[in-house]
Amino acid sequence: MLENYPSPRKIGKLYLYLALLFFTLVLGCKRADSYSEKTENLNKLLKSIDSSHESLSSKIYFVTPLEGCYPCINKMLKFAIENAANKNIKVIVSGVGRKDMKLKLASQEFEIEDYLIDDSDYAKRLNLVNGYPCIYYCQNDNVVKFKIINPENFKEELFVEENQ
Amino acid sequence: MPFSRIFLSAFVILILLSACDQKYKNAEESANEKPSNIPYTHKLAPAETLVFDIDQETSVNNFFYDAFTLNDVEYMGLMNRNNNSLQIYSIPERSLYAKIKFDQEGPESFPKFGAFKVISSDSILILNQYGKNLWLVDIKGNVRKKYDIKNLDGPLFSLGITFYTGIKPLLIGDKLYIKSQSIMVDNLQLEFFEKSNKREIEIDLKNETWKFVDVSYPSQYQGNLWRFDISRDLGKDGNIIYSFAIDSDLQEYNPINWTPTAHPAKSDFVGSINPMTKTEDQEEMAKYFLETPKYTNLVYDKHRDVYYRFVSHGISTVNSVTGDRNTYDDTSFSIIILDSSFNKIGETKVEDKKYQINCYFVTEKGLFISNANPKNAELNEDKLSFTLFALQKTGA
Repeated sequence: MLENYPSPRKIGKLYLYLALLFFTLVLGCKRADSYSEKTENLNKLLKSIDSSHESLSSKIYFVTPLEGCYPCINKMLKFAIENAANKNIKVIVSGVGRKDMKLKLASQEFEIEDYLIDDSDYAKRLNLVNGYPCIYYCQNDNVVKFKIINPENFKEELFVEENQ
Repeated sequence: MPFSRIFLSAFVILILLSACDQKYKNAEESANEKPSNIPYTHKLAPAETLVFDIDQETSVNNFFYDAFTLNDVEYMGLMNRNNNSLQIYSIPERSLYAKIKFDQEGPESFPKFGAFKVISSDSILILNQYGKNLWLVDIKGNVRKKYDIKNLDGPLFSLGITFYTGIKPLLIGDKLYIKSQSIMVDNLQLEFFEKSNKREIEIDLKNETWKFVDVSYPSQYQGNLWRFDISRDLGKDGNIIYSFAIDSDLQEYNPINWTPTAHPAKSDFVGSINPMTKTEDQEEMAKYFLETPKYTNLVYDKHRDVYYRFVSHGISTVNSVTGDRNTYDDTSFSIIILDSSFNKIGETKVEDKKYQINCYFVTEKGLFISNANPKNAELNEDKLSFTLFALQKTGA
């Protein structure tokens, strides 16, 4: 009977194969799930801001809180003003209450009218932003990549985009 | 049996994956921990609402409040970060009494106003971010003195300081205490929690000198990363009482010898608190900070001679009903009540999604907590609203 069982070497290979298959599936599923969830949630957020929103027509969506990494947030708000004419870029500012957001923006010499405003902190509940601004890169109405911005990678992220 | 082994391996992997999920369930379980059956003698009960109309320059979200008495009248002061001003409201009149604005730029500027300590209407100490400037002004905003605080290391510069109500400057005689850190590392480095990182600065207003004093994280912090919050207040006997985020004890420091005395003050709603695993993943970090309970603001109520210790309960990242992410505004919290000898005499869980845990002040009537939780359905952006939590005997 013993000769019907695979050799230890073959069993080892089988284990390796199964492990690789398992991790590939897990990681692949996780990433795909994550992007489709981000796509769905970004659409939900934009719909909550503008009920006529239909799809992710811009290439890049910035979502920034007003509380958190202040240098990163300030740079992102400035970037939005500098790129106001670029139809491929949209900036969503998320916070609590329009009055509070207006005052916070004004204290940094920004105007609330220059941004898409999420005044119910919905972006946070949708896990689209936390204490750091985020960049969502889109293609064919889907999120294909996202980055959480910190003071170290902000310039790098913009540099990449400026050269695309 | 090799194929049994394969099944066994698959089983082990499944167990491991389920353990990963379990890690984030602990916080929820901890938050739902039931209070013990200790017959507490006191509780805090919502008693009345105090409302102030606010102007178009003032938000309901302010992070620094303090109450004080001038000529037998009670006032509440707030630091308005949006317009760099100190705003003082009369509590009996429920209206704005004084607004002292400071310029952000220019020769007479006081940029990034951060905190204040009202001594009298002629003497209000004001500090800005990093404690770079310390001035004495009167209630009309006239500058009476610009301190030039120095030591051998140079002028006063307080690392990492962002003032809020739970870490207001404390004045004992001619000494002003401000929270700081003595080494330039962030809270994601183990060194941050070591004894060498002194967390308090003593400013001698008379001699215009400053020094770090011997206050650091308790020993259980060392060797791991943790929630880093500290709150403290001036206690009954002129000692400073510290509440560290993960330490169930309060630490009482005598400002002469700086030797701590521990006083048990554990919450009934918090089990063991786990350290943070170092990660570059921002979402993981956010999860840790949301799900991990912490001890937070510590307040001495001199009118009733009791201490209040706020406890923020952990909350699971995902809301099990809506599927949305929870935020700090969804977190439950309770308030431990201790008598002046640090005996725990009560712990009251407050209503969820109504209050701003970091916005409070104490008057003769009791502890007032802001109703400006963004999830509060009654939130009005043109009114500052506070609930009085009256200290009552249980059964009363």
